[in-house]
Amino acid sequence: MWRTLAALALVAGCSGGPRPPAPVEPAPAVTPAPNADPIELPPETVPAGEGEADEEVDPAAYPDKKTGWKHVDDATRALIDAYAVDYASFLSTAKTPRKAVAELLAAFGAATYLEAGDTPETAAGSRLYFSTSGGDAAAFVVAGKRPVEEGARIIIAAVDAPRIDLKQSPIYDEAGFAMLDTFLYGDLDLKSWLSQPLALHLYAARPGAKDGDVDLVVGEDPTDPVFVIPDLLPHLSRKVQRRKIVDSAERMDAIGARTRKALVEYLAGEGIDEAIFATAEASLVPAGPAQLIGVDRAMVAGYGHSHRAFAYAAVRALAAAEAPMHTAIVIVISKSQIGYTGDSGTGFVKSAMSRIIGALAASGIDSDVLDTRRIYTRSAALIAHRSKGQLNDGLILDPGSDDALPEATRRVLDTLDGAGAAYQLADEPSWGSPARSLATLDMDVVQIAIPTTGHSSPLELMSTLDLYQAHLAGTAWLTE
Amino acid sequence: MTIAAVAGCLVMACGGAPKTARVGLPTLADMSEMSAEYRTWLDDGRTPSRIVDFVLDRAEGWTVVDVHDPTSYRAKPGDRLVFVDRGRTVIMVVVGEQPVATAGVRLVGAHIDTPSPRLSFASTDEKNQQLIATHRYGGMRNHHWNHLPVAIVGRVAPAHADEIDVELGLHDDFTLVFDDDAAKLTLRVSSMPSEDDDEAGYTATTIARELYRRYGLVPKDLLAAELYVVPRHGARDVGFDRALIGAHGQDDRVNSYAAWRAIVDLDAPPTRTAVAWLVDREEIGSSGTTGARSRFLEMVVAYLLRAQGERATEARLHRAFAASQALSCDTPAALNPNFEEVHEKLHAPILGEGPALFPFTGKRGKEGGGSAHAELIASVFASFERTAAPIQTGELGRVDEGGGGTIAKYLGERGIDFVDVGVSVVSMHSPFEVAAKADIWAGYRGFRAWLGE
Repeated sequence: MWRTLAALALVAGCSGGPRPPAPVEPAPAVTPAPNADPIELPPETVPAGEGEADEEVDPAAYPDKKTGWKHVDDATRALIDAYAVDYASFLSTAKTPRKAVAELLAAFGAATYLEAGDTPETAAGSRLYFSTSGGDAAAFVVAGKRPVEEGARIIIAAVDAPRIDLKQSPIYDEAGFAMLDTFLYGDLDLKSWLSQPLALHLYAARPGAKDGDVDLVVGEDPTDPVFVIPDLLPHLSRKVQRRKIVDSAERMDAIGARTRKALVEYLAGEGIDEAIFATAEASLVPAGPAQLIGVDRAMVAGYGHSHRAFAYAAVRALAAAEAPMHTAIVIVISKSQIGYTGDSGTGFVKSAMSRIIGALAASGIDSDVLDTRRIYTRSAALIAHRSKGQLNDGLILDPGSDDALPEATRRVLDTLDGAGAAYQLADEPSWGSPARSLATLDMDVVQIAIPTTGHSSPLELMSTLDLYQAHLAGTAWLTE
Repeated sequence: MTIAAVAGCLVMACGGAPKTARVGLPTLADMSEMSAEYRTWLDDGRTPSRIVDFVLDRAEGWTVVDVHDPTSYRAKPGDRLVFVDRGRTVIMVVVGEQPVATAGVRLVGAHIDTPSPRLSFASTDEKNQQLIATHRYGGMRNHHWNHLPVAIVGRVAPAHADEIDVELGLHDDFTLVFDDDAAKLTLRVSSMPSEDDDEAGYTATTIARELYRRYGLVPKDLLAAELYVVPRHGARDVGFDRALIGAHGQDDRVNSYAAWRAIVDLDAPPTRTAVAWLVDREEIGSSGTTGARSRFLEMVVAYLLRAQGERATEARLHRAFAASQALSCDTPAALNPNFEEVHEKLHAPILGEGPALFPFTGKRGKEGGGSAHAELIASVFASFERTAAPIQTGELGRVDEGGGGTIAKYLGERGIDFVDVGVSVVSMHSPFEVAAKADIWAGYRGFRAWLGE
């Protein structure tokens, strides 16, 4: 691997090199060199603090950890605030994978749709995109100045989030209510979804219907009714909720209406009937928009943060990229909550890369396998997946999640340092990283995340400072 | 002493004739008009003192009376009086045809406090302002609050000044959230730490600075505060058919609303003097100066005795109470479709089938509760029937599953005959309790009929 990259760097002087030119501003990170003079600890007999000064470790040898608000000047603060407001607006609309992809497409701007097998004329700066037929995964491409054979810079992020789906025949009568039978999508912190106002997003394809597809949203507008999964009162919860507040997913059914008759009448008013649920994507998600949090308005709380934040940062960075040195690609995927399965999970990354390489490589879809594979080895990707870290301490790098090679990690560190983006390393590797599967493409993949609290709850929290670091990192990674 | 300030109304000793034409709020026309007003009641009345403000703001045609006022007011049937204590509890009276001394009063009592976290600034200093500790007011459950946009609403008594209303995050372009730790509820009020101020080139906006900027409050003022943490979200319709309302604090602002509207809409002078008591501190045991165990009711009834030419002696007060009847209008828990086994399915109230009357409360053989007399139960059923409002009976939960109390027994201790009857909710004591509009409508009409007999 090292040799491949080194050879590539010699040939092309490109992104993949092990040591990119040191950025001028801000100061380059100092790498502790293995062959530097060994650090001599003062003898034990000398009390701490009284050792000889010239034997102390040079502070510059430690990682330059510029995190927290104290390094933020007023001009940067204004950029952070503006970015947070834009982002909160995206998050408020992108309540489902399908809507997130649509929002990102709008953010990406004018671009050519790339059909599989197409080999369009591409100059540096050409913009391409395509999505799955289900609309829950998409790829966005800006062709680089250098040919794709020299490798691409890639960011992969998911746009799905834990949610509560409706079953195919969900309506039943119980305890004086018309209830909605649910099943769960993803690993939800169940108790936190109780007694929360929920909105319904229902999408159903109706090929050939004169009214077109059904796209029903109930609960997002402040004047809409909402839905709720009731919880027990403390007076009666002592026994049944003693060990676990929600002991079964069967406790998660939602109140749909007072009477089934009224519910069916409502649907009829929308031009649909009960049978629509059999074919629809129908999900309950927390109702209402994302919010700025704190008297300093320096946090954002909303639903579905932990993945979508990086997807937004990446697509926005790509939208602003005019003609990057190397081909820049952002791939947004779904099914992150259920193991990245299916045609819109990590499988989409693989098929998308094939389609992009087929379109951009000089020999097109007739590329030799060896030539094609070499493009992967010359490419490098960041993949967003949740990791544990501290708010306000910057992006979380988690090379341990798939045991990324030091060289791959170093390239990311250098990019972040060059961009002045703050970061922290994950204390413990996260579980279930998609990087494990994607690295088998022979592509360097490093997992990255934005510190989040309230994972898998209806309301996740991020610092606007950390969100802005994703913007800096995304821009640098895709365009340097 | 604070009554006049709180009321913002003219306090006057009134001897005016009974009103012939209706003054003030028009009578509720229908359920949808009621639902709209009820949502405002919930959205504006986030704390007991704000409910009191709501009532006083709509008290045209009512006389706000200081119970300590020594003037020689003479009560006439149909007079409408409002008494306020400490800005947090209110008693409304429509004087009846029969004297209080012998006929007693008909009283509906409901509480206007509700379980929620309360801020504690005790451990907050200038270096520790990102996270503010809270303690619990009433029986609330932490997991409901960990992932919810919230706001601060309440009152602060600054040094050397009158109490002021304080609000943060409710109608601002920001809101607040609790830290992600279910073990204790700690409010995140800012991202920036205040201790970095000196060395940094930025100025942190801390909660102390924000409260100073808005209200001139300094940190030591906050030591005397009653600041509730409430959900940012207001009341919402629930369900496709909009037949339900979801909101924080419907226990017991649903019944206090129905009780308030019932007495406001009494058209003719009732036979017996009608009283509605909106009371504070029920969720922590009806204690304190503004709860149902305080002497406020005694003061008001004594005032009425005197206003009807009686001497307000202890003995006469007891006789008036003994002749009185009360509905304790607190919120029962309706059958929860996801947890039916904790209810006695045959006896749990069903949401939407009318307010539930509890012939008995308490736990393990009715201990700590009450057991109502048959005559009073019959009178309640008759009143509801007369106005064609549905009513059901209920009990709290399965035997020995748990239990709860109401203000009823504190009315009983005064010698008043009482029964529990109220509009029920599911998800009780959560930030999003659900009630049925039809039940509120029925409760309002039933209470009005019973008071107006």
